[in-house]
Amino acid sequence: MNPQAYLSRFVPTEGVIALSEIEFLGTLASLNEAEWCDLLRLVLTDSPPAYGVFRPPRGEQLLSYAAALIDRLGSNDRRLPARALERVTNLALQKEEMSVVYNALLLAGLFGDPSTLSFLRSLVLSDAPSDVRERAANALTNHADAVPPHFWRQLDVRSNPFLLPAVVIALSEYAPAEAIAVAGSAANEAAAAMLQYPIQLAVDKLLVTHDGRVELVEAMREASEPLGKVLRFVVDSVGGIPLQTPLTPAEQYVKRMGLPLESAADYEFDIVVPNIAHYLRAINGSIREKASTDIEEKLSFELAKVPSDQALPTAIRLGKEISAIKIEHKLGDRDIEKHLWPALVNSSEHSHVHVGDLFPFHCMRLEVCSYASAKLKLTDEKLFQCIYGLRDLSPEAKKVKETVPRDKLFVATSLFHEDQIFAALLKVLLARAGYYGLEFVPADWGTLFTLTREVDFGFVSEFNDESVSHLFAGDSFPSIYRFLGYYVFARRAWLESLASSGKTKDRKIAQSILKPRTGKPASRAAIDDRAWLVKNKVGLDLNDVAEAPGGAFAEKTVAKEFERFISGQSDVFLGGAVQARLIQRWWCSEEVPRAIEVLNPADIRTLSGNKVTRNGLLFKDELRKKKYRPFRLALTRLYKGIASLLTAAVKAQEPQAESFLGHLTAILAEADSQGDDNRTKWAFVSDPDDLRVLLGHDNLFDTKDLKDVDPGSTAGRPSRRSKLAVVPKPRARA
Amino acid sequence: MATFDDTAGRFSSADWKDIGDILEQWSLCGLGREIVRNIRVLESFLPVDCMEALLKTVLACRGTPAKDLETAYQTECRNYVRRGGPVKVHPVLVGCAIELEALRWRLRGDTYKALFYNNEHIVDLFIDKLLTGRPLTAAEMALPLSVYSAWATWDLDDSAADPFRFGKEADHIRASLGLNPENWWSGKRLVLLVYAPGGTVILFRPTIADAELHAYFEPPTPPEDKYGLTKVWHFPAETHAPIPRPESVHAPAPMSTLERTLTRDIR
Repeated sequence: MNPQAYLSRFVPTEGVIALSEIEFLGTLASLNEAEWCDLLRLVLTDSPPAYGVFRPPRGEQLLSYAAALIDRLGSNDRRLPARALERVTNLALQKEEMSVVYNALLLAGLFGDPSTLSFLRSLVLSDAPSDVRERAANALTNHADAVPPHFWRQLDVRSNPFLLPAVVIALSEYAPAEAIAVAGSAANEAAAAMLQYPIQLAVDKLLVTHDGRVELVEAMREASEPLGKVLRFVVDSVGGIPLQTPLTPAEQYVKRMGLPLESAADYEFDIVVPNIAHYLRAINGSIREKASTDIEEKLSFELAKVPSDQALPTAIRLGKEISAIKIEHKLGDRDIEKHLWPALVNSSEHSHVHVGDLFPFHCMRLEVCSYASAKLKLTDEKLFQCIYGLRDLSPEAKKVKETVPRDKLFVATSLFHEDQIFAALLKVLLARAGYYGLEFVPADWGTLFTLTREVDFGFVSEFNDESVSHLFAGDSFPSIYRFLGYYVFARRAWLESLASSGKTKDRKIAQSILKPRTGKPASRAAIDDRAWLVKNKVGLDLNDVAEAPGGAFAEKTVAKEFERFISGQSDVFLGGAVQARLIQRWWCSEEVPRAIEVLNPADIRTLSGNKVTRNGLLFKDELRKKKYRPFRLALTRLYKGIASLLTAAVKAQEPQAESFLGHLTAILAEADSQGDDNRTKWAFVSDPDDLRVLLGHDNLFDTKDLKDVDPGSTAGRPSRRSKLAVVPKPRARA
Repeated sequence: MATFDDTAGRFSSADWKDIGDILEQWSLCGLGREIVRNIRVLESFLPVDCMEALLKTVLACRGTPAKDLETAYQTECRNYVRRGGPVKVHPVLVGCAIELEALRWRLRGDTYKALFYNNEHIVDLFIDKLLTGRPLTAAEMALPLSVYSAWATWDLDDSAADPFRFGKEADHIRASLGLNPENWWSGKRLVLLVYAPGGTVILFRPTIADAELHAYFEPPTPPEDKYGLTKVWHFPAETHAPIPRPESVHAPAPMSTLERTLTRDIR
């Protein structure tokens, strides 16, 4: 058996330039320990086969590129390479292949698992050559917070001066003043000068607090001449001289920018995002352990400096910065969701913070968009491969291409998630079949009329039983998907006030809503009670929820209603599944359930007599002629194919489906972030897992093939096609 | 005439035929196709002696798998770096681009150990200093910008101008310089190091030996003989078409040559 057979897994398939990042990291993560040993050895010996894996550009070091890419593996995927590296290093030590050992110890700085740290510590304490011990100590400093200070204190830096820099670096984490004192044991001025950066780490740490600044002044006073010189240089270079009144961060900022110190107060909010980013980077890796109250306290302190007219731009900057930190430090969605977002929501609700309750939502919106665009979005080629792996829709797309009536077709596309998803997939499938004439025109839901034109086709809804279409009569309106996901939420505080001091009936119902549901379906009477409690708040009788007239239930107001709800201006919100996901998954943490689900989709179906909204394609008059029947049929079949593709992706667990859903997450987030003046319909999900839930629970895709139906034929009522008599809008959701 | 043909007289006709057969076989795989075309047709800067040595290595791999041939070829290439002769222009400023993540690891390496001690936080402090234009110490200025030969470009219209002023965004620069086209770096920060070669840093025309096994290299087509030209690639949904740039290789230059106002990073 060829022990290097695994290398072929890194070779892209014919016709593809390279593996995508996801595929590449997936392949790395799939290596077994023996394969990791081989690959690491190839890297450490700078061997050509490893160039084919990590593909450094011309003139670049293989080791640097390999390390940077391995560094992107998640913590679970690092265990095997860490173990393999230890084995390879030990072997190289036995064979005295010192260049391999040195490179291996550099790579060891990647791994902070207990086994690697213990291995490095034993090397530092061993009688190995000083070059090896020095590099092992240096590698350990990259995980100084995971090595107890007594380990560093026991090292004799006078007898082993090669360990001095590592000891200063490591102690600067726990005991920066002590680190500076230890640096004083440098043999001479030249040796002290080389400690400039380790000393800077300690100085940076001391400058953060008042006590630290006092300690720094003391350390400077007591420093030997060589050390004092370095200390003065470092303190000057960081822009803060620890006098009686040290410079505030804002003063340091204006000083660096060459502005007068008196103007510092005007610039205080400019450094809010850098300060938060610096803090989040500093606690990188320990975000899971860091008490959320610490994070919350820091965020509150910083956000209180933001004037309300700067809240939105600050939220946008912060969202992008969090995305960058998440990417740099490989924080998963769950880490951010569980530890950072609740702290941000809590802190922006503090009374002394003026950024407003929408601040964390805007921040999250930009974070999701930046992260998904950078990490989850696929190239058209890769997207097509994913689609192909789940469902081959080439025949359907080809048929559309063959029957398409014109070189150019305009498609109505609202911000609703189904519209965006179908549009993205339609585009790539038809482009692959050789048709490039689709133009997606932003439109409101359920109409072919935009501000400037009538487009050729688009989705509309019908709320009716399954057999008869008001729109097109009979079965001429094949449903592509049914929408199940209406929700009603109430603010917990409102329910609690009703439960404690409302009228008798209100109190009783509010109390029952506040109790967790048992899991059994609610009785009709209980559902009626719940609907009764909130119906005045949502402005309509919930029994008629899906047949509401446009005025009360028009989707264009939903974004504002959602914002009013989360910012506390309204107590009840009736909306669709996308926003329900943001409320349930994102806004309501376990500790602070700000909103309670009053009615879920099943309740609302019960209220409306089990009717559901059917969604299908509406064609403009010209395309409803008989001669275009083959086109309508082919297009509807392709839409049904996409429906079946989405169903398959939701059920599949393999990486291909993950990548596919990740791409769609990016599509929704990007579309939602491109609204004018950064307005949003909040029609996106916070991560691919949530998209799976959204598509799996709240949409029911109709995948049954069409037989002899004539989709969108002229059988429909003409009045439905007039500009003024737009189709009814039973969906009140974004 | 291309260098490859110039070496024909240095081999027996049987060996020459074998070299042809080996190269033909190598050209059947994707990477080999690029390398063999460069060797046989396009390379004209590499001295004949160096080409002969490379071909002898190829010949010695008769009957071995392609993987071994590639290993031997790459190893041999490293004996003939910067042999393409000096470029025939004298740019005032040149630049090279490196991924920020890779630069961080480069600076954590042994070449920089005496100042940065293989430590991530220290390297970040230095990069922050480098990109914000704060003054470097004498020890920092003496550090090399790269570990191996650096590939540098410049502005053909005004060689004293920013070598990267053509670049609209990081991916546009990546594509124009022929950095590798994987999407692994897209969206990441790309560091643009701009420096003045002056009289001490000699720029050489790049050859197949400098490019080793890299697919994104192509010697310029005659009569171009002043410098190399980058081999561009196209990325999906590109908004700006990549532009071939002049290129050269040179020995590592010290950080003291950096033009700080133009050295920056870009996404």
